[in-house]
Amino acid sequence: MDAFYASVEQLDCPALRGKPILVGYPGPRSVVSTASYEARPFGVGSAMPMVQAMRLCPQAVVVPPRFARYQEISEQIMDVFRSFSPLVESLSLDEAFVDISGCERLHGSPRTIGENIRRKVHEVTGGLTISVGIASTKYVAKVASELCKPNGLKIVEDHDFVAVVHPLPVNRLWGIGKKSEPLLTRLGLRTIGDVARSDPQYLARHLGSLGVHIHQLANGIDVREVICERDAKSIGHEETLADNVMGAEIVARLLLPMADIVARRLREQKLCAGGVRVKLKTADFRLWTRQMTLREPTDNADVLVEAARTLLPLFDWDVSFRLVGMAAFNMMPVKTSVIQPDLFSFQKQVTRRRLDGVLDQAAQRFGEHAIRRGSDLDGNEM
Amino acid sequence: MRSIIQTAELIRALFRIQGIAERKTNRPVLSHVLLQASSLEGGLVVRATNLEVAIGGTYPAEILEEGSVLVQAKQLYEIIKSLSASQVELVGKANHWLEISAGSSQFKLVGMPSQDFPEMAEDASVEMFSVPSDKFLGMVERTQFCVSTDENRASLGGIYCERTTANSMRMVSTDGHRLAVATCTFDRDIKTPLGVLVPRKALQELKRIVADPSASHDDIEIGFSSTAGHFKIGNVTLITRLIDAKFPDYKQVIPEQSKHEIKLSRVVVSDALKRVSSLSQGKTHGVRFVFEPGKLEIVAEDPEFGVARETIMLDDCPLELSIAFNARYIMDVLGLITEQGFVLCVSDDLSPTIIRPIEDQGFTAVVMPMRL
Repeated sequence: MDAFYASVEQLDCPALRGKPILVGYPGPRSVVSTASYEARPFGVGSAMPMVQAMRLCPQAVVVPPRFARYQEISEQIMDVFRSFSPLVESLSLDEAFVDISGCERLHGSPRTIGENIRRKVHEVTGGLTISVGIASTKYVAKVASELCKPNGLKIVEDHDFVAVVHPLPVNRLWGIGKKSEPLLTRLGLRTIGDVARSDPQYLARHLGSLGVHIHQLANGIDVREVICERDAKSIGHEETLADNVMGAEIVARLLLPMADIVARRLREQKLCAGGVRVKLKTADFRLWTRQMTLREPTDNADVLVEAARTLLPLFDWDVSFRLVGMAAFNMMPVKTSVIQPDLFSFQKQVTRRRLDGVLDQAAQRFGEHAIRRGSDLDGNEM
Repeated sequence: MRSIIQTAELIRALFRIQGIAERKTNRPVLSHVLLQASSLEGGLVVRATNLEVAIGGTYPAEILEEGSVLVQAKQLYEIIKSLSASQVELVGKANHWLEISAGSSQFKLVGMPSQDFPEMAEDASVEMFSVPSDKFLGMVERTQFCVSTDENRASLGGIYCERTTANSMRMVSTDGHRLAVATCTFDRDIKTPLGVLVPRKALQELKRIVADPSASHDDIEIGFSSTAGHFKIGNVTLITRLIDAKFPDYKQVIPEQSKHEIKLSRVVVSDALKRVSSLSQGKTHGVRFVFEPGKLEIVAEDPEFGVARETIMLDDCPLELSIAFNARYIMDVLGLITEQGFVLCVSDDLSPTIIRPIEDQGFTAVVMPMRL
């Protein structure tokens, strides 16, 4: 989607249309989620600190994000994608891969499919625009979609790959970010073509496995398939915190609402998870994970959080963390997972299942936050 | 040290400690056996430990010179087993070497300083009582099969022993999915504390010691301190640490009353299970017991391989119920029942099910049904 959050805000509030807007909170630590196209000429972009963005574009309207609304529209869009192919892998609320191989006889040529997707998205959302990139691999399709933004469609055929992709700067490679880009520059590699032409062993020596990976991407090799969510290997949730935190106790508390979200998504997809992983990012951006196998597969938040909390002593608590996340993995469908209940906890499990059912129904009718745990509330909300 | 011992006697001594002499350990001394020639003890003392369990025994031997050696247990056992001569001479040499001479054979083994052997002190203040060893080990046999092997559930890693009346004892074990209870009344009073949790390994080794047919042990002497269990059988002593964890409240999972009690033939059900379980699903061994008026069908189904079905006719069984179990769990229990018949006490397909012999009140097993 083009400037998704900003476009949604402009769609819902005609007064904002044609004006530069910044979606995000005006706090000192917050960043811009999305800048509308009207704001972008001022040099404002996603992930920029809000303070800096407001300085660059003082006339911009700062709009707080409304994730529930974005989620709602996201579901409409994903439904459009799924009407063309069952193989849809969503990357975020407004971005997805759709595997359309073998769909020609049903839906026409790739270009026709692309145009139809664009038209239908515009229709169902009541006016939002989307850019579509078409190619034989996921990576090139993503690059193509970025090249034709906003409101465009671009096909990159295999024989056009070198001409289209090689002149692009290295930061257009997947996996190259703020840290690895200077590294490549120091090696004298500025464009994707430079990377493609260099020796993979040389890259591996300087960048490790990332080197091998980007060499393949730069040469148009991307073996990753489109993975739709019901085949996903894990379901997780993570949050970047407003303030860095220290100490296992706080993290243990943060895990509970996350477990609720993960468990609900498991139940929505009728899956049970056989393992739990906890992910922490330190203030200096080092990523730490610890994981464990569960005694029996579960879709219950209490079981997930209990397991996740047993992992906490395995982390080093001398540092502060900026991100906390947890994920469930080793998934299996509920109905095929043979379950041997535990003698000492089966009654509790029966109660939990009944409770989960009621909570899910309430969430469906009255929204995700209709019922919350007492322990999640701050003192002043009580 | 210099001592002469009958080969058969030494083989017996070494066999008894093989189970606890560790094979793979980062503390070499735990893979070693201590041989002590002691006139005071009246023979050769053979001891080993894995720090959880220690076993020591005194065996008749001629003591020519007192002293001790500490050598690799497995290696020594293999050597002594292979000897053809009827007696062995053991001589301790400088730098902890052990020289073994038997007939035409001679070996020299590298040893360790015997003072490195980790002692597990015998607590002399423990009050001992004795019970017939066959009865005691019968209870172990009936409970040890469902001790949990999950290292993360220490509280389930042993057999819980408790005194129920002045002269009767109960053993309970569970792995969380099934539970076994064995009770026994003795002809004398016993002194087990209210409840102790004895590691599975210790009781397994006790069985190994008693299983030795050459030794006749009528009684086993038992005593518990707050942290250790002491067992004496003839000339052998086994000391074990007790598990320092709370055994779960097992009584809460044994249903006091079940809706239906069905009498079945052990052999018929056990044979039927053996036949159908080749098609029970993968690792979980799930089979379904389908009760219909007048009959029981045992069904195993594997989506990849097929279906197996056994029909057992039942007189006057009005029950209609389908309940799934791990076939292994049922077969394990039936294997421990000696009577012809057993009772299956079921309420519904989600609640714990009891299996017990019809006559013998001393054994009860509880199995949690599966959700298939």
